Amino acid sequence: MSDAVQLEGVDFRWSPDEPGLLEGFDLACAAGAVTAIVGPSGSGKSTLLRLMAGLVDADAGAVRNGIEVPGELAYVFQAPTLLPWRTLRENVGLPLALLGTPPGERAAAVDLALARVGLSSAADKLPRALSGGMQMRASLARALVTTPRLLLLDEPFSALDAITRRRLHGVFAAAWQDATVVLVTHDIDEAVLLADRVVVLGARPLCVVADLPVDLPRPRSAALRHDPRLGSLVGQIEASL
Amino acid sequence: MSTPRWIRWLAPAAVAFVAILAWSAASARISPVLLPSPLAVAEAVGSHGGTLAAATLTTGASAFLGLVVASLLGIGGALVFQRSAIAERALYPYALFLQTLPVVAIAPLLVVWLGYGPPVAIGSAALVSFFPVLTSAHAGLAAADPDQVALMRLYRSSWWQEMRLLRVPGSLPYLFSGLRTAAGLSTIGAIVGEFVGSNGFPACLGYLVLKGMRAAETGLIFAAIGCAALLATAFFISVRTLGTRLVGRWHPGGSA
Amino acid sequence: MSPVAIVAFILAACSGGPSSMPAAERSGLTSVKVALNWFPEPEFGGFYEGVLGGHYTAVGLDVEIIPGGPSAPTLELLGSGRAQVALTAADDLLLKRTKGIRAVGAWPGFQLNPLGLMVHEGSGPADFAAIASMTDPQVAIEVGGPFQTFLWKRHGWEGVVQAVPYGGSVGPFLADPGFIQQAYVTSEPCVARARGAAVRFLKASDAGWNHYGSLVAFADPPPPWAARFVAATQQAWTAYLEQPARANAEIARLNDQMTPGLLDCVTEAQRPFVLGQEGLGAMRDERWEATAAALVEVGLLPAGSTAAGAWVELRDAPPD
Repeated sequence: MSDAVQLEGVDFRWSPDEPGLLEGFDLACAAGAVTAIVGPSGSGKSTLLRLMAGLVDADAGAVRNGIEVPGELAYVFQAPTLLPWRTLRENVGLPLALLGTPPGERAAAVDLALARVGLSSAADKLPRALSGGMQMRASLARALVTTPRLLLLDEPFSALDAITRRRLHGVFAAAWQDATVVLVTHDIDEAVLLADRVVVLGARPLCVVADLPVDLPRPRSAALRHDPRLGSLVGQIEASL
Repeated sequence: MSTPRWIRWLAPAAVAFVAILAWSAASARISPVLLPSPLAVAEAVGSHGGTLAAATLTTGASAFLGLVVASLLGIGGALVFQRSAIAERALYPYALFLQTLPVVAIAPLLVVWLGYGPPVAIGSAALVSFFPVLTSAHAGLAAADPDQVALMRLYRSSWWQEMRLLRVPGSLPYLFSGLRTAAGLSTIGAIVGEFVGSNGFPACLGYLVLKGMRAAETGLIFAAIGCAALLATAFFISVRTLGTRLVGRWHPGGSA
Repeated sequence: MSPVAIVAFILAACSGGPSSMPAAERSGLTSVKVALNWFPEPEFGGFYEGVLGGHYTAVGLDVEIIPGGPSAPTLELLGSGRAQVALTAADDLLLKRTKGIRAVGAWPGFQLNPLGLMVHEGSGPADFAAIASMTDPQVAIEVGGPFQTFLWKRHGWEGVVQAVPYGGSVGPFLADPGFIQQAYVTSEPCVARARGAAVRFLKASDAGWNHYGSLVAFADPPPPWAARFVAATQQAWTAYLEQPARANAEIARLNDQMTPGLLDCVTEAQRPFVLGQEGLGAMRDERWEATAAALVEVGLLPAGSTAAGAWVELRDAPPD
């Protein structure tokens, strides 16, 4: 499988006074697979994701994500970042509006995305009328509305309570299709449950301390939580941290 | 337990009642040429009612137009500042300078350029209202969530799309906060402009205050001041209602 | 009020002042706007009489009187073309000329400066000299203005008499028998008397601060009709002094603060100031130079300044 995202020899620091966050960092993520990146808070996982998205530029080295056309790349932030003055339908349709998609096509794509995350009935509500979990689902729908090739998620479920998080794991697993996914998370169970590969990072400067394939069958179901294979993978990851 | 409706009306009314009693008592001790009794003010309203009403309309129109001018300039300035950091750096000191300019100093200039009366009042009202609108609009435009900005950039949004879809709607609560301040200030600004720039034609509240002072008719002075206060309150409530109407759906409270 | 109505209202109100008369026939008449330096009051009575009595139209001038107010920038209005005649005072004219305003004085309505100090008849000081010997003397006056600067310098009041800002109202005067404040003979004393106070007026002209008042000023050089305007003004004021009723009625219409009692009081009080010793409308070189010298004394004009070129006698000039 070819690589969808590549970082080669990347250097990065936020400002000249700060120590380097990344120094000569290398990482490649396979296309069509879900790569989870775990690591302690503050290690720079979010920065790594932003570099991959092209939201920040590396000081040195190469970052390739193979994206030429806007809409092929989607990003999900830790907070839902919905526009409070727009309905869910309008929020989810925002990327298509920015890309100039005609309204008819836009409406169809929005309806599809909402259906994939199970929010069709809330389409005309304002974000403040929705729970945190529903807002996060809407954010996910917005990311999916352009059927992106590359989907980057920055700890999307970390602000939610355990029950909602579990439900959204199911939503995510159901909604993911063939996109390349890079998921940053500090929840090891989540990483193993959702991903094909878990990359464990160590802190400043960023380095890969462990890199495990996750060989569990797809589609992933909630029942896998109790599978001993999952438990052993989690244990290995914990040991490396 | 939420406040019953009748208490919400009764409380300010009770305060007003007590205030009038205290005012009555005070004015009995203080010379009527310095502090008129509530009765004297009521008499002034009675005998000058038509003039007070016309003057209130004139001053109100001037204050309103001044507020409109200040809002257009303030919002325009905020858009310019958002577009260009260099423009902001270059022009902000002048905006600040306008804020500190004493109206009484430039009012004669305005008379020469624009003529007596309403033009000076409008200019003066605009001058004092401009800065609050500029700073609140600018703060609102700049307050967009950086993640939302990043999200839009991912889809290659233009500056104008970013403004139209994200920054401008998001800035409205801040803008209305500034407009509420400006609403009260514009009335004061109009009246101060009238102090130095009105020749009485048309009659306006600033002129009536001066007239009352020259004739030592304190009842008239206070009646005019009372009308000014009503005017400022009306503006304030209008702006607040407009804010709630536009923004209340998604921003409870109607302004930042 | 619809936005359109509001704007129309404002624009209509922007005329700057009412015409004092229904529109005269425009054919052949030169349009002249006269900017007053205060509200319509008897100190401008002769000018209103000039319009109402046809004195100006008789010399081919269609005069419109624009009332002013506090800090009325009449000379600047002259400069910008919004007015063709500015009313001012001689000292103000000299000061503005040094600032680059090109205007000349041509006819004084007041021989004696109507400015002065107002005190209570019984309890107040008898004259300027007596003020310094009062206990804790205070004078309400335009602080920092030329009159205040002059008084303090001429009488040595620095550190002796305190200057407090004058708020424009006679209320404090009425409430305090020891109150001393600046006043114009055409205004505050009559207002105070109408409210029952017994008032003494100390004339600025007695203190050495004597400048021509209600002074007609033209742009420099004066327009060709200036001499006609001056001649008509002289006649109109003469008529007004003899019979003020018509002009005063118009003044009362424009300024409803001017009750009949107040009008009579002011008309009578201002008469000796209008005529002075030389008579209505006279101008003399010595008076102008005295004004310049007083301004030099208080440091508002550079040493050696004169009034040369600041005024022009047009009463005997051949009609244009």
